[in-house]
Amino acid sequence: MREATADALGLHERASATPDRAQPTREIELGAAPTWTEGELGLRVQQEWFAAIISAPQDEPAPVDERSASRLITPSSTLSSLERIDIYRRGYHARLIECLADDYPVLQHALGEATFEALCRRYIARHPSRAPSLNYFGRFMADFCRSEPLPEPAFAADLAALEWAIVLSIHAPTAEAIGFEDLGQVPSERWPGARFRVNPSLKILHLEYPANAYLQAYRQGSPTVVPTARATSVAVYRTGRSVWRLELEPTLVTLIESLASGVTLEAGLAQVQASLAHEPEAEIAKKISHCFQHSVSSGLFSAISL
Amino acid sequence: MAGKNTHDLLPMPYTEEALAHVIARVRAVQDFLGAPLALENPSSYAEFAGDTMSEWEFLARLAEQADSALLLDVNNVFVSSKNHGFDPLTYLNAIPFDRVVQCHVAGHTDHGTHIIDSHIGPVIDSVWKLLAVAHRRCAGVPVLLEWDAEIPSFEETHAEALRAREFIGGAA
Repeated sequence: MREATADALGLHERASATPDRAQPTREIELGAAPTWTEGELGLRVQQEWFAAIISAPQDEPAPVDERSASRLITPSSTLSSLERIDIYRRGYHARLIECLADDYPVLQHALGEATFEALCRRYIARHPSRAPSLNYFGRFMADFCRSEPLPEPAFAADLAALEWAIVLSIHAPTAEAIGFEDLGQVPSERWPGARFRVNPSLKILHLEYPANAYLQAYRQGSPTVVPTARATSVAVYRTGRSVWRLELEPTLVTLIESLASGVTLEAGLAQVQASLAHEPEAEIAKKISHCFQHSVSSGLFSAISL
Repeated sequence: MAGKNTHDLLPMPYTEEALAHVIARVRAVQDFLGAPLALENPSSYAEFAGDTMSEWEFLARLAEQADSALLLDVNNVFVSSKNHGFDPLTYLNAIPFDRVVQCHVAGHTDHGTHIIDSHIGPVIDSVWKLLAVAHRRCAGVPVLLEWDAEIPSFEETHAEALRAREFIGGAA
């Protein structure tokens, strides 16, 4: 069954407002004594200092002391220099965590808020944003999960891979799907040499866990339990303003991946047939027919060339 | 900065060096686009010890020397005035209003020791009053209500936007 994501085109504006995080829950701790109390403070040096302080991990001591901080930023009548800088430090991390929570709501649900936030903080330290756009900031999350001390890192990585595929499909170019009426216009003698173009936004994921079933249960408000490992393949793609997730049987994976590689329909079907060599011939024909119809009705193909 | 992007409106030192730096970049962008930019005054929570001019002087000189337009956010003026202890009317008096092409208003969050430009909640009367003062000097420019989180119903948000009419004489 083909399932739409809940929020279709879930484009989120990264607003200019400052994240309104609660007041600091602890006093600002200080790190090693800085060496920023000497020398000229040109524009570049000041900006680099400021950026270095605010991007320092929040669970580590502030990298400067008040004396150095006050050389950069004046205290106000209510806040010390470090406390003023810390508003930006909290904002930097809060904004990036918010961005990752936007992209990975189901991973956040699976891990729980505290574990997810801690994971995000480590991610931010390991993969600071280096692009003007935040749209691709979370692209390393699946690989990152595999290397992190999480309860089920492989499952977390699969969930992250699935959610990231949804993000990518939102931003990817797409094309209108062809239907059975388009195929009806193909002369029968041209079928073997026909080549199909798959939807340009299509990604096929090969996962160790049934992450799509978990995601669907979350979206439907059903109980979610970390599943046992079971290899699954999921297609994620967009048509118009809807993003779709489609669990693929192995036969369908073979057909779509072969046609996506540019081979003719005849060659693609031969690959499917070879993969089913152990099955009775009548069953093979039935499966191939079902696969092809399923691919077309799901909108996986965007063009046919003869 | 140093290969990283902070995705924040960071404060900057208000110095001759910074002014020249920004003017050159605004001019380069405008030359490339063939159109003026509208530069917005930010909210800020920190002031650099090395500042040699006020934010309003910096902004006015930047707009004049880069020949750019201004987007005047009166909530940002209010937030910064509370965080840094200046009179917001002093700020407004320095603005070259012939360059203002749009005004912004928004809600903010008062934490007691400082105010955060959160774009949450209704606009407070002090900010509306600043809008009234500003808009008299740039009559006719559009006013935008910014409300980015904890957004109420459309009716409530719309009613808040329409409150602008009480302060700018029905021109909103």
